[in-house]
Amino acid sequence: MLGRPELVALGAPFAALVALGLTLAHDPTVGVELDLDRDRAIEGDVVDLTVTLTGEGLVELALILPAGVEVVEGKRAFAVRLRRGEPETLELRVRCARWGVYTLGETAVRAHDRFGLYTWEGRRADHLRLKVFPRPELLREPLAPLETQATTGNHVARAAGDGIEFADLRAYVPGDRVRNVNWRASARRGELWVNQMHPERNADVVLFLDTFTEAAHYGAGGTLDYGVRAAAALAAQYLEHRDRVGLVSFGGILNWLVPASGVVQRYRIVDALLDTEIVLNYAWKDVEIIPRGTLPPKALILALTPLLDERAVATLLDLRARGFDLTVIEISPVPYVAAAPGRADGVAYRLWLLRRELLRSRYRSVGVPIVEWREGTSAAAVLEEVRAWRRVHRFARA
Amino acid sequence: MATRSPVRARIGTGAAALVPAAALTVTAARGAGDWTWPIAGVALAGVAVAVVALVLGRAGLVGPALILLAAGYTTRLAGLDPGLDGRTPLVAAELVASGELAYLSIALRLPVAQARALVAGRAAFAVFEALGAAVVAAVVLAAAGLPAAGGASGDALGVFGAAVALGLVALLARRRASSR
Repeated sequence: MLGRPELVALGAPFAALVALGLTLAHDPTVGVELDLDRDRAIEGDVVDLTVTLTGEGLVELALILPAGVEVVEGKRAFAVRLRRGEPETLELRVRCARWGVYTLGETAVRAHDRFGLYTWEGRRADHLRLKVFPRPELLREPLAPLETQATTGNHVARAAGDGIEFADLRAYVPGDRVRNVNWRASARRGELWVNQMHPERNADVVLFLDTFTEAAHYGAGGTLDYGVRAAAALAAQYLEHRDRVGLVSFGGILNWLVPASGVVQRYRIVDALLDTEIVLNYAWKDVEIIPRGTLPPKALILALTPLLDERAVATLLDLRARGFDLTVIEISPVPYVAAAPGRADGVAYRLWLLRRELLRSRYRSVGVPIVEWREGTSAAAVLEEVRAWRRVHRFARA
Repeated sequence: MATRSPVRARIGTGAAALVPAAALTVTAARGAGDWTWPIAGVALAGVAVAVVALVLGRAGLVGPALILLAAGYTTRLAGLDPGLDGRTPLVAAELVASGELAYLSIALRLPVAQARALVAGRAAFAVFEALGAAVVAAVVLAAAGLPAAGGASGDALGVFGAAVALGLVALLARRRASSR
């Protein structure tokens, strides 16, 4: 139209580039391999993640990490120029922010040809499993059960027998060992008296985790989070004291572990806790569905519950009625619930709080210590509150 | 191997992309008489779009920026004497260099492993492409200046050449599409 050949000269290089690019372009063969330096970590740990890339050309890669795992060193998305036969290795450090079982290894890859005419995009999944255990809270002394078992352990039993802790004095009877004679008391009374001791026994502890429902802030931890942490800490502490520890995850899905002791049991419990989740279920469930061997006689039951579901509340009362030594640790949902503006909502909120207080007094009236565990409160303080309650209400317990 | 966001390289290549664009504006507008301001206006609009593309990191705006720059030069050609403009190879090189460097700058928004080697390699490739563009433009311009190229037969040859070029590109693109 213009009769200007310059425009042809101006367009010719671009046409040549397009033709050259189309001729030389070929499908890329990008290989992505991810590797973790370990598959188990504790909450807050930093794990090394190695990304090995093979192929040719400019490759953009984005790691798709699940919530709860975050990159602290390195970048989640980056570009790299690859050369044939020369694998590139990138080191990233990821922090395990929250407990859980994570599947890492999903990556989004984008490759370009030499002239930028073509872009190839794809997703890969390597399915690297990373188990992040909750960081256990340090407990100086676990809560002692009211009744101990027959085998030797670290708890001072209430019954008299062979042990270290002094229990009482009684008159000598034939068959008593001379080493048990209390010579000072015998001299004062003019007849032989012997010392009685408390034997050291172990205990059966069952952690009862209420998983019917939870209160949580969106995207952050909630009552279940705290319950799992507390259960992990308590399990670790009791197992260190050579007690047998079991677990009942009572909710939409019932999970249980028969009480046992040792390191293996600790890993079993933690693994079971990692799988814990809220499953919505409307079916009525009570103590009858819990397998019999899971709740041995004289076991100390430590219930971790937000006291939000009527089924868990009723089951705990039922357990107490059956004579179990029950302690309720209430993972308080109150910090997660705010009163909505408005007079009626305010009244409803106060009624809800009063109802919870009524529920607590109901437990106390049947001799069950109930303590509230809120964010920021140490486990030791919570257990000390239980001990104090037990000291005061010793005679109220059947 | 560590990755990092090469901020300085990104800003450097972005600025380097604007240099040929500005040079093209000057090349197109200088000595155009009454057409100076219209040409400068169109070309400067291209520079402005390129700036927006670089600031926002929108690769889709680089193409329109190049089209506006080329439109500025086309405006000049429309108002020129019928003789061949010897600056066309330079303009072609400026266009290619500006586009390549702009795309490189936008690509560097992502953290890059071995950033220095990557930027050096891509920048060198951009220079190579610009030189190649200048050579191709010069060859086409020289061919257009041959005595045999005049008249209706010349026009027909030009149309045929353009059609062959387009057909070749379409054929290659189709072959690529069917092979994937």
